[in-house]
Amino acid sequence: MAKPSDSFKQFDYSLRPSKQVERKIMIEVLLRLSTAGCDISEYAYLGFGSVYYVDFIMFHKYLFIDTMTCIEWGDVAKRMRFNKPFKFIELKLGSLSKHIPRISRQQKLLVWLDYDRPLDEEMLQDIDGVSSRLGRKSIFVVTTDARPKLPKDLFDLEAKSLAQREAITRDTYNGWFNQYVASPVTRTTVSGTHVAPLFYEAILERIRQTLTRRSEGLQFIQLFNYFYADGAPMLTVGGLIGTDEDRKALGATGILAHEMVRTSAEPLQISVPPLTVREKHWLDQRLDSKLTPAKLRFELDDRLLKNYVKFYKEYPAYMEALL
Amino acid sequence: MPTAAPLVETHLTARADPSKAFFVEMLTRDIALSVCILDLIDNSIHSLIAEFDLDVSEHLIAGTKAQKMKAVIDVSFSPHEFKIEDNCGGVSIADAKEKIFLFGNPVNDKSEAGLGVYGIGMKRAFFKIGKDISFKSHTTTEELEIKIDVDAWLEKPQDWTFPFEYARPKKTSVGGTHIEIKALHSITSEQFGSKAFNAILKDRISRAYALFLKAGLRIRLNGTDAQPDFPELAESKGLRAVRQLTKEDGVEILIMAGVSPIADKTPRGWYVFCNGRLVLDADKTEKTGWGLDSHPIFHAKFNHFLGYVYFRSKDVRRLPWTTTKDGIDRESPVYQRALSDMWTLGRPILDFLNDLYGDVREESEPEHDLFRAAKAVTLQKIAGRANRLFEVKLKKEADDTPVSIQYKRSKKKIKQIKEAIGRSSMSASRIGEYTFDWFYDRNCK
Repeated sequence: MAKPSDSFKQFDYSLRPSKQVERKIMIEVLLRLSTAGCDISEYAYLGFGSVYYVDFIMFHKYLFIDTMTCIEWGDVAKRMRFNKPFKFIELKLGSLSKHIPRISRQQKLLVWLDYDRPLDEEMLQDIDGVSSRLGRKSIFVVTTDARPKLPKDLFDLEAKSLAQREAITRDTYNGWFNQYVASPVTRTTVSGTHVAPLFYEAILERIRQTLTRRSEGLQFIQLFNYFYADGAPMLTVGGLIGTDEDRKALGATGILAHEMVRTSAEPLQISVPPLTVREKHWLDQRLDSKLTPAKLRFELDDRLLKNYVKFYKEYPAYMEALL
Repeated sequence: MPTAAPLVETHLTARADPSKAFFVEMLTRDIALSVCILDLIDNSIHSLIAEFDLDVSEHLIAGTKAQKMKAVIDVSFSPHEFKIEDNCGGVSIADAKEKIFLFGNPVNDKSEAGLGVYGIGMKRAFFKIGKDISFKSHTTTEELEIKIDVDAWLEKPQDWTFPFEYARPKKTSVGGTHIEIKALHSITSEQFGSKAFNAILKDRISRAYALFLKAGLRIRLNGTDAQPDFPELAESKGLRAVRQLTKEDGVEILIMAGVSPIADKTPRGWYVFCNGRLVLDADKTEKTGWGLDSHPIFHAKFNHFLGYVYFRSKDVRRLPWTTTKDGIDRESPVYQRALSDMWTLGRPILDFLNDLYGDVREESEPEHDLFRAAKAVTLQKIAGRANRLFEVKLKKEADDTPVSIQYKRSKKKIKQIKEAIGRSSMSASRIGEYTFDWFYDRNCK
């Protein structure tokens, strides 16, 4: 079993600007689902809180969800209890696999498996398990680190050359993902900086196969396919578990064409630049689709600038507060 | 291009009549002899269920004790003949006339409990075994005999009947059936002469009908009673098996899983039953999902994984069994849904076994304590509980519990260390402790 990561020790979750943009655009889309008969405030939330519980706080405040379960399998029981922001959050210590059988098909759920490690076999089992339990109209979101990295506790790759590491990664990925992807994983696939298309295909196909097996006429109606990097490249895939009728209802409301919704394999790039307060204000005053890096008074990559223009409303502003 | 001649006859039909050779020579190829004999035993048990309304899995699911089955099924064979005799209620003249010799059950047949599904097993078994068949049966009020001379029957391709030798009233206290087959096929005769075949068949009977044998049914094979062979789950305080009963489309599905006792050295896996009859035995293959859907391949560390799945229905056609009953209809939606639950519920058990046999033995001491303390529990007891998940409650170890560390380094390097610290007589394991403490004192204190 993979070991719990302690990435929360390295940075404050809420300070990652692209991640924060992701949470906010997800909220925007989820709120709009009510027009298609999915009132998100009636849902229960299931996720990994970490000691900051950022998603829990935001989903309670902005989606009005007040039935929440937090799964934590790290060895930080006291910190998790101590930091729990609201009494109604139910904290479940232990692995997700232990909790999956408790998922009720009757309760509409928003589940966000927000992993901080790259896709592996165990996560695919989690995805399989959750997809096999979720009831109709539940929303299922999976986030994964998109780098082609194998778990350190299972693979000792430190002494290996780059070529050997890539070959082992390719072979392992072929073993893990061959039943989900159309063509075999190659050295070229795993030598890049990220394998988001591979993980996207595997996650989607895993969910699809599980839903088909249930033979209840359920399908995965994709809403999110986001890609960003606050440091590590990350991939988020999410959607509604619904019937053909639900798909039509969503289509009729126009949600599927919303600019923050991605129903295809082409991800929405949501990486935003870290900006100083002065830079942010300067940009905000001049926001315009014609703004180019040449017109700026400071250096900024063209793609990041475009993304800032697109997501300035969701861009988080941080100031030090002396508490 | 010449145009096709216009179709003159508008009522053309293609022939699709059955051929007797298909039943006699083809269908029998796909089935092992031992499985055919189980088919005949299934028929006897089916009569028993119909006659006395006995349902062993109903009792298992309810956790109640089944009414004692008093019947005996006696199977015997030699290289010259095969016999199966039972006192399971027998077949009525009407059923023999209209039903049990049909090739395939009519689809509109009313739903029925028991073990008979497809209406093929008994005839297939006859043809697999030999050419001269006598089928005698009696109920409490009448008796009958049907004889089948397979060669003669094959010579009359249009005749799809088997004549009665007699069919008459007769009063007896208990009904039963007696089948005798002679003129055995040479391969069958060879197998019937082999001790190994006898042993294999006995094993299969002991497992396939374990629930029925436990409920009191006797199955004798060449004069010896088969004993139920049934692995049990182990539990201790803090280690409890999962139990889940659900109902899907008229089929009850009972899943029980956990670990087998530490003394049980047989690699287990999944045991799948339909109406009490075992259809998958200690399965470790893709049939029960091992190695599929990102589930692990069965591995020696999972030897103690033990799972039971019982499908039960009043309508046998809803159950996910194949015509040979030694497999499962994997495409069936009922089975697919059960499979999904089997893995969702079973995964914490595999997690436990993974932890139990992790890389560092000392780290899994709490798991080993639980496992060692676990004792076999009867299935009835687990089945009789309310639904519950697999439970592992580990005693948390104190942080200062010693853990041993083992590793290898070259003699040359160890010698160099000895020289560096000026202790030439120090043992290698002491060097290990010394260097560990050296690092700890400087970096962690």
